[in-house]
Amino acid sequence: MGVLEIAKGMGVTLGKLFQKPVTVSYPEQRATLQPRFRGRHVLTRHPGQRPGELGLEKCIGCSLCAAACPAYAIYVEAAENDPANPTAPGERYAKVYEINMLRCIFCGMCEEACPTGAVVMGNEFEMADYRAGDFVYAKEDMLVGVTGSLPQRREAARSGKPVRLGFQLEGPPRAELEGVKYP
Amino acid sequence: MKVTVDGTEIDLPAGTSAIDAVFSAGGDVPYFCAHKYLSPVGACRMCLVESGSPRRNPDGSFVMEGEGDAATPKVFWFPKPMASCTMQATEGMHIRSAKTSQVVAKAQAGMMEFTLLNHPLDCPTCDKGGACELQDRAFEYGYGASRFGFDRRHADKHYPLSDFVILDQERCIHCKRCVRYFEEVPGQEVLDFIERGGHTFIDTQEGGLPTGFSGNITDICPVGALLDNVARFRGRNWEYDHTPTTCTLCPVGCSITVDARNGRLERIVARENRDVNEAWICDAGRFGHVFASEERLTTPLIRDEDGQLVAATWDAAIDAMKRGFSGMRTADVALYLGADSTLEEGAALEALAAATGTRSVDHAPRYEVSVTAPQATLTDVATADAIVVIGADLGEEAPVLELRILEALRGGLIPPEFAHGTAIADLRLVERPARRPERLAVIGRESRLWAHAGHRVSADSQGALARLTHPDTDELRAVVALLDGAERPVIILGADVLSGAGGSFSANLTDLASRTGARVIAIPAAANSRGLAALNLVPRAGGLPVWRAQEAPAAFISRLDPGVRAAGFTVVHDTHLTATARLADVVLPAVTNYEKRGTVQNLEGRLLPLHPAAIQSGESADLIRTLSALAEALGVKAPARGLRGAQALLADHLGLDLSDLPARGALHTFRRTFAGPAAPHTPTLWTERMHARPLSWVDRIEELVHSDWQLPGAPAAPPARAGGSD
Ligand code: SF4
Ligand code: SF4
Ligand code: SF4
Ligand code: SF4
Ligand code: FES
Repeated sequence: MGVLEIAKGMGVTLGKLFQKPVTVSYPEQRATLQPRFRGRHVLTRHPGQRPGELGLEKCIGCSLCAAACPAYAIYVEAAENDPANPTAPGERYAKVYEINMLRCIFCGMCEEACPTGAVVMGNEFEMADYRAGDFVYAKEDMLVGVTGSLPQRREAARSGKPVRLGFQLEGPPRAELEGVKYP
Repeated sequence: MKVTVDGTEIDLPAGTSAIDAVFSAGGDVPYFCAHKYLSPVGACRMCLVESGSPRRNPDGSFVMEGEGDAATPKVFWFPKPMASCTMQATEGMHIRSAKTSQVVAKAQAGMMEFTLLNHPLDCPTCDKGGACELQDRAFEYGYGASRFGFDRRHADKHYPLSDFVILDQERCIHCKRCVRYFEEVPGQEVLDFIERGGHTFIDTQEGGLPTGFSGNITDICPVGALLDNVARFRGRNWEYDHTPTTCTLCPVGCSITVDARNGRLERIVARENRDVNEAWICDAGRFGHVFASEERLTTPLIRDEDGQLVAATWDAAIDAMKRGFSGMRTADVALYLGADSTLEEGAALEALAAATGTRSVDHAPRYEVSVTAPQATLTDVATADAIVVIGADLGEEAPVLELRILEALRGGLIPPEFAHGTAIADLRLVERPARRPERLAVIGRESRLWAHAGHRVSADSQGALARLTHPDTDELRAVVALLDGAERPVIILGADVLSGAGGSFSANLTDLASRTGARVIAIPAAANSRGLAALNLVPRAGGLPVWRAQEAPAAFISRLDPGVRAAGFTVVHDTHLTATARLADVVLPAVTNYEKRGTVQNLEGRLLPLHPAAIQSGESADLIRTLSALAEALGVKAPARGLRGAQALLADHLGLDLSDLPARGALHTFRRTFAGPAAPHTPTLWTERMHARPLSWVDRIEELVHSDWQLPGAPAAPPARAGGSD
């Protein structure tokens, strides 16, 4: 190996040294996610009847996501809608909907299996927590409109500051994440 | 009879239907309307096959095809595919199923498309999803894609036919199974098709379904049109833990599948057992399971200083029992058990009673008579040509026995069995079968069976047996003539005769049976009363029976609710906090029969296995393990610590090998039975804890459906109510 090769290599190194880095210093800086990133699930809703009104949940409690899940991470318990005050359209809704984020491998099979487009892979990923039990996300933790993971929301409640997400998107969330807005 | 199916020649008994011919050859035909125990009607047109038969010349020789030695009988094919469920296979017939025939495959796919035209395809919210014949067959035989872009038929999706059965009229594919079921099996003409063509829907004019056997239509509906309202939305079919076991609510011992999810018993469905319940169970067996997952005792309870029952560990309960029994002789502790306990549990208790030397041992309910007349099986009942029912309300005592009696009245045709199971289409079964009510005589009080009987004798059941030996009225003479003239007569005895029978009962019965050649079913008082009678579980001389439990110095009472406590220390072993348990000093949690492994003997003497379903019941224990805790507290050696030990006791004492019981059960007659004075007993099928109505907004619709609303100007009709008899 001659001097020339060493100089060539150093040249590449030097060249890179003055380029704009492709990494970001997370968590001080926000990471930019790709549109198809598969993060924490979001349970979407139908559009409300009037502006500002919450729509019905899309999930009908069919358990197909649970059946498709290769990690057995999802648990669904269905119940019958009260026709006067329905939770979801039709006769059936998910009374209990839980995903164990420790088991989940974020494969997106649940999203693919869902006949109503209710469960969609979102963008959030900062779910590190201390107790195994805190990784079981219930419906209230995943319904559209809930921003941040359990520990992030706990932290926000403690400090009184809004949830700070460690990512940003180029453009709005993809269309399937109907109603999701990130601050 | 030689039949060629898809190129394979097979040998079949004459009378076989073409669909069974294909299944016998190992092939497959999709079908919706045919059902093993119902008449084939050819309603769904899904079971199409191509078929043809050779023809004969006027001289009797076959019309041949080919030249010289290579000539074979010419097969004359039907020009179009035929429904195989309504076609009889004949000698030399050729059948081609979808496996070898493009024509059939295309016809079936087209038929499937036609069936799906107006099907809502709401599988995700349908309780049948995952166990749906339409889903499976559409996957196997359909085109795989829909060409139908228009709006589908819309009808009532939430139509409660009764408290327990809910109908989705959109999903119905008009197979007519439910209609035929009601007409043919319980003989109640309640459901029918209304309107025609694509507007056809099923409904009833009676304001509800008759009680008794309505739940079976939820099993046989090939789609999710008729569904179990108790299990509504409780889980998907693949999520349930399925446990094949035996129903022990009554002595018929129907085969059932218990579906549990997350430790809760959510659903019970019928399981086929040709020898016992065919494919049917009663509504109590199907819908009355709520108690198994509600208000269960999950830990032992002991009395604290204030005299209140508080939760405790088993160790604490054993200590409490030791203290309670201290200073007492072990022989002072009376031992009582419920007569739906298993044989194994009975053997463990018998052995413990021998070890403690107690004279007060009893099981309840039971009758004091033992019947020695020849035993009839349920198949004997279904094929009998004369049946005399004395003093029985079968709806309360043994519901499915009633169905087997009705089976005999419509000709006693039991579908044959093939290697692939019971015949799918037995062509001898016809729609609207001719009934032979004159073959049934009912003596005693009026009951549901009354409507089907040709001979009805209102009489005191107790005296009826004696009066039959010397008939004193024309009615009774007709009954005796019926028995005398029959080749396979069966006599069925119910609680009104058996409870409190004494004196000449046995002699009269033996006399009547031997004179007429009749076989006898004496319906036992509880699910396993018959089996437990083979064990010495009746009071010894000087011992106290259950109904005198309050006189016992101390008592252990397992799954019985006499409502009293012993004079001294009382231990109750039960699944719920019953009235007796509230009086007890120590309460031990018991498992229900849905959670047990063991064996029971039904009314025909068939040993049937119980298997434990995955139901959450905390620290509950069966009687065998509970008795070993009791033995520890009493300071005697436990004769059996588990099921194996108890089965060894049965093997020793009765020579019974229960380790390898077939799923269908096995008939067994015990050589010796123990009997003794018994308390009067009136069987009731539904107990208070079973009677939970499904609670949902169905109830509100119910009110509207069953309100006494009438068309304006219509003649006033008596208000219809759910739950009437037909
Ligand atoms: S993303 Fe995959 S692993 Fe996670 S819940 Fe969905 S199906 Fe299961
Ligand atoms: S999220 Fe979708 S697949 Fe899962 S239960 Fe709800 S509707 Fe069914
Ligand atoms: S309700 Fe079910 S069983 Fe009855 S006709 Fe319709 S599809 Fe057949
Ligand atoms: S007939 Fe008896 S054994 Fe059969 S399901 Fe009904 S209660 Fe159970
Ligand atoms: S036509 Fe329905 S099974 Fe034959």
